[in-house]
Amino acid sequence: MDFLQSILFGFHASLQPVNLLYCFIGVFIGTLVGVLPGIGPTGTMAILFPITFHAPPLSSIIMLSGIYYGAMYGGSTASILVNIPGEPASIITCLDGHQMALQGRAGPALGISAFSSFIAGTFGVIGLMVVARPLARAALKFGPPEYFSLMILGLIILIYLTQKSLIKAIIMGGLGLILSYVGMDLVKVQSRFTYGIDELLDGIGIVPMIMGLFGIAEILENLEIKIERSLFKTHIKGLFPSIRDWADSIWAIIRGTILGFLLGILPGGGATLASFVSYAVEKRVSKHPEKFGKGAIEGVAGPESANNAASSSAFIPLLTLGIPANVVMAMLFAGLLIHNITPGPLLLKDHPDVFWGVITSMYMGNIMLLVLNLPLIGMWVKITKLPFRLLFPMVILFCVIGVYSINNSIFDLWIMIIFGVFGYLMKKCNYEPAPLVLAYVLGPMVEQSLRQSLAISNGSFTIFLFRPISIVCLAIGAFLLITAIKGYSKEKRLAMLKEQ
Amino acid sequence: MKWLNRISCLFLIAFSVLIFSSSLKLGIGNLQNPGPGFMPILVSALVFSLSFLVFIKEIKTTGSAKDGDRQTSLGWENLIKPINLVIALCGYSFVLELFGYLITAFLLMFAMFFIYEPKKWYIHIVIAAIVANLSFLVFCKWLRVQLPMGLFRIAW
Repeated sequence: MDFLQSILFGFHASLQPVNLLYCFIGVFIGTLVGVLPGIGPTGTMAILFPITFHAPPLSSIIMLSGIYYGAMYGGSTASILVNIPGEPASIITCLDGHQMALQGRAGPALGISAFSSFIAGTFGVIGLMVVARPLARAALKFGPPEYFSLMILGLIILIYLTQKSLIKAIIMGGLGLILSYVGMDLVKVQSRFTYGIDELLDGIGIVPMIMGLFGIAEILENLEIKIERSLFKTHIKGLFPSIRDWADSIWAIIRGTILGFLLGILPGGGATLASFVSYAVEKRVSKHPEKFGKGAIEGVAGPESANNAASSSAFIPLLTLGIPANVVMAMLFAGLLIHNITPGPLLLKDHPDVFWGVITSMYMGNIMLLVLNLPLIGMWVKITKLPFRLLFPMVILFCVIGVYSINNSIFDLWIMIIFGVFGYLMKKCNYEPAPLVLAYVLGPMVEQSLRQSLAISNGSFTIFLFRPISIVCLAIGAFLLITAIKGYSKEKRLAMLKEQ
Repeated sequence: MKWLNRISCLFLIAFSVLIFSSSLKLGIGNLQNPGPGFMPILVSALVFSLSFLVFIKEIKTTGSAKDGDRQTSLGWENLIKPINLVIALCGYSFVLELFGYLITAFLLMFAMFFIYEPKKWYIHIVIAAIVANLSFLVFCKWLRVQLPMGLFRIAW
């Protein structure tokens, strides 16, 4: 199939009424969870997993993807109007977006946010289409050492980007790897770390674990603190940005799109990193950096473009290499596996409908999101007022139904509760759950590729140094770790000096 | 909440020791043919060393409040709601298959509304009944999710 034919094939699949419906449900729910603080796209995807069991594979993945990039759109609405980011990638939009709203420019802030998201999302999908196919072909030449090094790089990048403690992030990554080894060792056909519990022979379920770590833990944390919302009360008008606004934003959108696309491809990277980097770049190149944080429209346009472009390009490592770039992609990875579809280089050959259907559905999703986020803005504003006391019991109920219905197992409910409490307590001690989940997903692949590599090299670790792709990945990883450790020591020295 | 930091470190140390010893039993094989315990032993050693490092650091630091340790300002009264929710969830898991989805969902919803706002219990009963029935309709009837009926087979 040539390129144009593939795209037409993808559109043929994604434009089926059932897929359009699932796409709409996905982007609608995505916008909803983006608007509502407290539960992010990862938890929502986990909650909606049971629905996907009965749906066709393509429809399921279209819906789950829609939740992800829909949350990027919705997150900005909450950031601008309520000053509470609906999801982490919109944290930076609070700075200038909410200031614009307070200055009576909520309309242009929401408008530029929606338009820049649409432009970046669309270009992100085009980039995804162009890059995915050649990369999938190149990935067929990857051997176990390349996969091992690439996954280690992904884990290091995620740990590097951690906002709290570097050491604690590595510990969480290690815990994720250990937990992924629970169950049967498929090479030696031997049970590991099950300690006589039969339910653990199949391993710890990813859905109960994620719902616990991201859903239950989040609710437990929110229950102890009262969320203060500074709600924007005046009428929103003028959603279409003026020519001046466009002139101020256009380069920010272009830079944000390119940056976001490139950062999204990196394993371990993603929308949050992209939005922060874009904001820093915009502030640096601006002729009026002093306006940033006080309502600069570029401070909304750049990060919003970046997080949407990144949410499209994050699909590249998953669809072409079979490596989830971040936790949300790990959820999609699990979603594909449930339908017996293995993401990776062979996906394009074995399931071209899924490969191209998901990609082309993002065009439709972006158009739906533009319609949902501009004319229906009033509805989302009302939703931001939904009280937490009504919201959290629904989330918990969805979690328990979702987890139970996977295997009709009470054991899974216990797993969810245990991980909920564990995630809550670990958050209190500044341990972040994201490295644990990514390491858990990558764990079996890391182990398999390490064992295969050592078998190929007759026990020599130098195999990772003699393969060009492998050595490049490991060198980047080592560089990042050294930089992080250096930065950590410097920070520590400064803190000690301050204390003295 | 320094005590929690220390307990978390001790937990991680104990967990990594358990995994380390279990991995030894599983067999680590050799470099040419790594066994099922090979990778876990490496990772548990890493987790052990880093947790130990954090533990030593926690002991060394004096009692001054640090940035990011916002929980220090929170007392036990802030933990009451989370603890109650966990108890409600544990209770739900115990009785779900015994009493069936409808009854347990109603009880769980009521408990959660009550945990957050204990005053308006009569309104919570109505809302809990509506939500339990609506969720049953959506998940069980429309989405065909299999939910337990319990001993009394209460459903519609």
